[in-house]
Amino acid sequence: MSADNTQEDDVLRLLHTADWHLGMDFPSFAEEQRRTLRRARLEAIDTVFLTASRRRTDAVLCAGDLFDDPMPADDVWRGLADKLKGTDSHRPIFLLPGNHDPLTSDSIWSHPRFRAELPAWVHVVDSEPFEMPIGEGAVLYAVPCRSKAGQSDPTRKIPGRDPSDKRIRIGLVHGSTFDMPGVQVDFPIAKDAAIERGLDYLAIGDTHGFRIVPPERPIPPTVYPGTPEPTAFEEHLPGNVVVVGFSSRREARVEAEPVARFKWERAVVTQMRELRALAKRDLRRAVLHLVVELRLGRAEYDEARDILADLAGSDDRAGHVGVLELNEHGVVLEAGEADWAEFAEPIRIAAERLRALTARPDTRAKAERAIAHLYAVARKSA
Amino acid sequence: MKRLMRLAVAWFGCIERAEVTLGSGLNVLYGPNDLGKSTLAAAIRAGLLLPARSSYANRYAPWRHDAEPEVELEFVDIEDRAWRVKKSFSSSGSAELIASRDGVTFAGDVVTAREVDDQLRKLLKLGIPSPGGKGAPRGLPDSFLAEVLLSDQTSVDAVLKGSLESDGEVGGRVRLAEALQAVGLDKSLKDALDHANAEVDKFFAESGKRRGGKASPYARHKQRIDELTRERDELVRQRDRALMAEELVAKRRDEHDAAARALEAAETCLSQCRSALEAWRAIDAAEALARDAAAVLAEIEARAAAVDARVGVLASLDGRARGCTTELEARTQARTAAEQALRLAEDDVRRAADDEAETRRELQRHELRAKLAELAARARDADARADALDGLRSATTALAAAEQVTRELGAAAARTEAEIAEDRAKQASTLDRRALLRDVDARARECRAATTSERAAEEASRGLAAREDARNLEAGATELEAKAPRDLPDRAARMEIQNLERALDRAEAALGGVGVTVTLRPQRPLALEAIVDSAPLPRAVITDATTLEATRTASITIGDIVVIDVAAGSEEARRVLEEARRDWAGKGAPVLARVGASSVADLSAACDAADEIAAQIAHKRGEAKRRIADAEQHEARASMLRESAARDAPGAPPTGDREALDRELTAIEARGHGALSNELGRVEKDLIAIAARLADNEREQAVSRDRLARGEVDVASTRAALHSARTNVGDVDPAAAERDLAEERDAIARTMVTAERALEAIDVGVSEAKKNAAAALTEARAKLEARLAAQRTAQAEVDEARAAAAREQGALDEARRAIAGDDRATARVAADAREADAETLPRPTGPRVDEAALREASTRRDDAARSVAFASTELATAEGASTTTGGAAAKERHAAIEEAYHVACEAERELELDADGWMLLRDTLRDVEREQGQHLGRALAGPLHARVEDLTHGRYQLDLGASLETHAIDGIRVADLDDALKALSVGTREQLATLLRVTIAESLGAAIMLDDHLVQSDVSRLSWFRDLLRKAAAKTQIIVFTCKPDDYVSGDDGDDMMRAINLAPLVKRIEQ
Repeated sequence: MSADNTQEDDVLRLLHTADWHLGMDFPSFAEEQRRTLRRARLEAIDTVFLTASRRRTDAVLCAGDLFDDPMPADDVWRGLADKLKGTDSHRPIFLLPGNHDPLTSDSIWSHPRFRAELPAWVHVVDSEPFEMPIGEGAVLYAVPCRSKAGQSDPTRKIPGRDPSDKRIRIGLVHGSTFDMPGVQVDFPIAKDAAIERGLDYLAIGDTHGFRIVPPERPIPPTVYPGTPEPTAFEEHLPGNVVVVGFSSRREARVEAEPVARFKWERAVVTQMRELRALAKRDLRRAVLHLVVELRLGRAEYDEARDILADLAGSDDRAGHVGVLELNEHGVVLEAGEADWAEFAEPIRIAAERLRALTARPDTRAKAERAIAHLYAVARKSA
Repeated sequence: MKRLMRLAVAWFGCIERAEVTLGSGLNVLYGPNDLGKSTLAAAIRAGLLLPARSSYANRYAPWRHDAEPEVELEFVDIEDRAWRVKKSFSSSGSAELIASRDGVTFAGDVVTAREVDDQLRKLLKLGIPSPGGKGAPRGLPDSFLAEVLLSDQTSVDAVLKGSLESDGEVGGRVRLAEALQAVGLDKSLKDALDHANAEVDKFFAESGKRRGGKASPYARHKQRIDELTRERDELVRQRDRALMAEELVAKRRDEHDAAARALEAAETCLSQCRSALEAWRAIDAAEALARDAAAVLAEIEARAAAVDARVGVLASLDGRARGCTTELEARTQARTAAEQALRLAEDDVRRAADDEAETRRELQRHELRAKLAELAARARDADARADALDGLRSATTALAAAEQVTRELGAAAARTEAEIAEDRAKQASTLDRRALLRDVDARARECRAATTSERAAEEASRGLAAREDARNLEAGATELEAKAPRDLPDRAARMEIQNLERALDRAEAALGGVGVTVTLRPQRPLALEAIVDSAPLPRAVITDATTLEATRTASITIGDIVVIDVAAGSEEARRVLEEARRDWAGKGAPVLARVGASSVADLSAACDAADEIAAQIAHKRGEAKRRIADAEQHEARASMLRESAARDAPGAPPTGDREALDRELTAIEARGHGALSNELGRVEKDLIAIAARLADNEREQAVSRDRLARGEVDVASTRAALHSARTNVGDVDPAAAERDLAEERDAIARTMVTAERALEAIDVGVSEAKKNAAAALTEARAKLEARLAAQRTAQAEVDEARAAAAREQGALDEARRAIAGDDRATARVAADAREADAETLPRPTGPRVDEAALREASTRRDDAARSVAFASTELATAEGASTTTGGAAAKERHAAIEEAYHVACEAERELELDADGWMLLRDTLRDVEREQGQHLGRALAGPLHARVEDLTHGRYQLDLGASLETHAIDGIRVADLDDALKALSVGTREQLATLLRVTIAESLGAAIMLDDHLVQSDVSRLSWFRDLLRKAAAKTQIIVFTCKPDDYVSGDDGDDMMRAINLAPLVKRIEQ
């Protein structure tokens, strides 16, 4: 066994990834942050291929939803094509159309310039059943999504195992094994599809978190690797690829390997000490949705403002957080009379009047905001 | 009035005519005493303030001339509009006010008469009420501002003692308050207000509505919300379409499932119907068999009962025969007695007749009697033959019946025989099939056991491999553990070290950019060691001046003489740096040294590497545990599979050819899972059914055979009886014989009657004696006849009884023969067995099923199958339609856009709250500003106090009230203002008054007229004032009337804002 936990006696080793969602837009973020997040998705592909190389895998299986949209922008597909051209020529890469980027006549998979850009060792699953040997002892069966939605199980199109077939049989499809009663899913995949189709490993994509289905049946494995770079805050175990090794007995050994740049996190700060603790963390590789709800006296208000300014950064200074989605409207200055003492009388009078308005429910929000404005202006003027 | 442009006067006071054009800034109108400068000033006041017909103007009437004083002024109001006012003062005076659009020509609307002053006062806003109204002044109208801006040289105290309080109109106060707000506010309030105004202007239009348009702060949000709304609407449509398609698929799937369930139910129902029908058929057959058996039993019992009945009848007949015999014997005795009596009577008769006749008669009688005896014998013979014929007829009928029964029994036996043969053939073939299926089953179990054994072996092998993997992983973890660095600080300690480093960096950065230069000028060669900004310099010997440039620190060691530490920056910054360095040296550096790291980054890298190794160890151990768990699962599965294989192994190996068995097995399993066991079960059931049917048929056959045998015995006995009857009858036609016999019997009866009559005739003719004898004889004969008749009757009865008994005996014998083969016990057992068989058959639940119900169930199954086919088509159509929707991708995109939409709306709300906050802040600041500005004395204090302090070198200060009334003069310790004013010199009073007036005019941006206001001032203060006026002239027009222009104009003055006007050539005084 090598230092990176790779079984030296594996007869076949694959890297399984899915759900790259290149070109995803992240519409709730600010434009600059959206650019950062879009860029991170493309950069994650570098880590994916580096991992494939480092773990000396024999092939890379990409199980669908590689683009967020059937026809991504030019810079998106060109970016991927450039990265694919930089991969090892001896390691075949299989690209499977998923429900986000289905194989249609007007999708990227039918784009002649994109296809022309792909090197010879990159194979697009554009037929069904798609069958291709991997080395001498293994064969890949893949079925592409041909529409954005569908109710048929794609594994049904994979031929069953002939009893005389002793090869490692690998399935590659995109769909959902989620079978809660009353919940309709696209491209439903039977949980026992791997067994029924005589597969030694069923590589699937769709869910953004790493998952073995069903968890109580590890062999033959049916695996979601999840997205290599998270796409949302509520995802469970995103940010991985799966390295799967096969023994001579055709037994698959599954291992998730983290590749993500960003970790997505939500935080609600209601105590000053929480904010201070947050400021001490290294958040450069975090996508942080931060809601701050603090009612503070002047000293702590100044400190909180400074911390938040450090976290958020400005036009001429980078923030301490990779991507920060900040809701700081809950930071309220509750300055008493003594806090305003250093300011001129008219400012004190205005502050006192605004403070009186905060006692009225109908004017409270406006008055608190006005106090914040007044404090900022008066502090700057002083 | 902002600026006076031109003044023209005619016949005003001492002036006949004058015309002066004025400029912006400072206008110094000078001329000698008595030229009429104050008159010109008065003309300006009159032109602006005095109604044309006011009697007050009488004082301006020209001296010794009968002319109306006229004044014409051209001026610019505070809104930069140009006006010309022309007044001619007298009791019938006139006035005219014309506006100009270009400031040059006055050709606008003309206002005349009294409206001129009304309009002028509105334009000037000096706090003077409109003329003629309530509170309107009489004489020359006056107000505090009129006093300030237009007062004459005698009004010094009026300014210092006056105030806005006494003005008849508030316009002056309002104007001044508005003007002073701009100059009198606190700086921070002003800054805040400016800022708030700017922000409010960004957000709101002048109308108070939120700004729209592209430049609006809302525009970006609105545009984003609009974009998101459009996209959201589109995605909602896509999502709804996807949901509708999914719902349709779900609905179609439910319908399909329901149809499939209905089909399954229909098939179950059909199957149940079939089973029930078969069961009912079996029950019916069993019950028919039971009924047949019961009928056989009943028949046997009926026959036995009939025999018993016949025995009773025979006994009765025997009794009757015995009775008849006894009667016959008695009657025979009576006849014998009658015959004896007859013979006696005949003897008597014979004795009474001759012997010959008697002998003849006797002969005749004898003959007749012999004939009668013969006839009686013939009658008995005829009766016997009639009986024989009856027996023959009965025997013939019985034989036909017996033969018919025998034929029927034979046919039934043949049928039963055929069924038995058929069942036996079927039983043989079914047994063959069962043997084959058992062989196939054994083969299947053998195959399953083999497969399960293989899987068990595979599982065991996987278990071993998993344990091997676990051992390898554990070994790897142990190896990594051995390699893992130790004594690294924990996360909290690392954080503390990073904080120390940051604190040190911040402290050093705080000194950054300050810089220090150290120049060493050695008096002799010196060995120099230096560390600049923590970087050591190469050691050197210096002889000349050497300069060291450091950003923050320098440490210079000169031999062993001295070490000089130089530090840049503030003391506080250096103290912080020293403290940070101490902290670093005490807490940070030792940790780095202990670990062998050269920097915190190295330490972090080492810690990260250690964390990575720890994670790998944990991962390997976790993986090892999982592999052990896997191994246990594999082993457990292997054990289970081995047990399963043992269970599956057949008791005996299959006997047939395995390949043929495999083919058979494959063919059977092709029909579906469990087909083999189903068929085996079915064959077993068939065998049981066949065996039951065969047993039934065999029992039936035995019964049939018994009945047939008995029938044949019946036929044989009947035939024997027939033969006997025929023998009795002879070879004659029974019908003809019966007819002949009847005729014969009739002839015998007739002959007997004739013979008896002949006999009676023989006896006729006997004598009376003989008559008595004859009568006695007759009587005897009658008695004999009666006795004979009785005897015959008794004999007939005896015969009849005996015949009946014989017949009954025959029938009884026949019946006994008939039941001789009956086995009542067997028949009862068979009947009970049939009944038990019928009762033991299971009764299907529910109503009885017939063929019609089966057909109905079959129809329902076919309908359900068609429904399933239709539902399948509909489902496929719905699934096809769903592929054209956006599916989950559309839903995910909708969710993302929905969130973005809410974020954008929230941002817009926050922006609106920001705007509302600014608006509220501005309004609040304005209120504060207004309240601050309403105190005009405080508002004016800013610009005024500095000037007064400068002018008086801080000796005095004016304390002004809210309406600009002078409360006190600070610096003079008297409470009363009058006393304070008196305490001041006249010059100082006029200077303070002028200063106040100029400051107010400056604040208003209004023209001010000063008429020799500083006549009592010394040179230095005149000079101070000159400078003040020049500065003030930059903001407002100042018109100075003076006889000493040098006080305002210096020789080198080239100021564009100052104009010196010599009035002498411009003013023509009225000739004395």
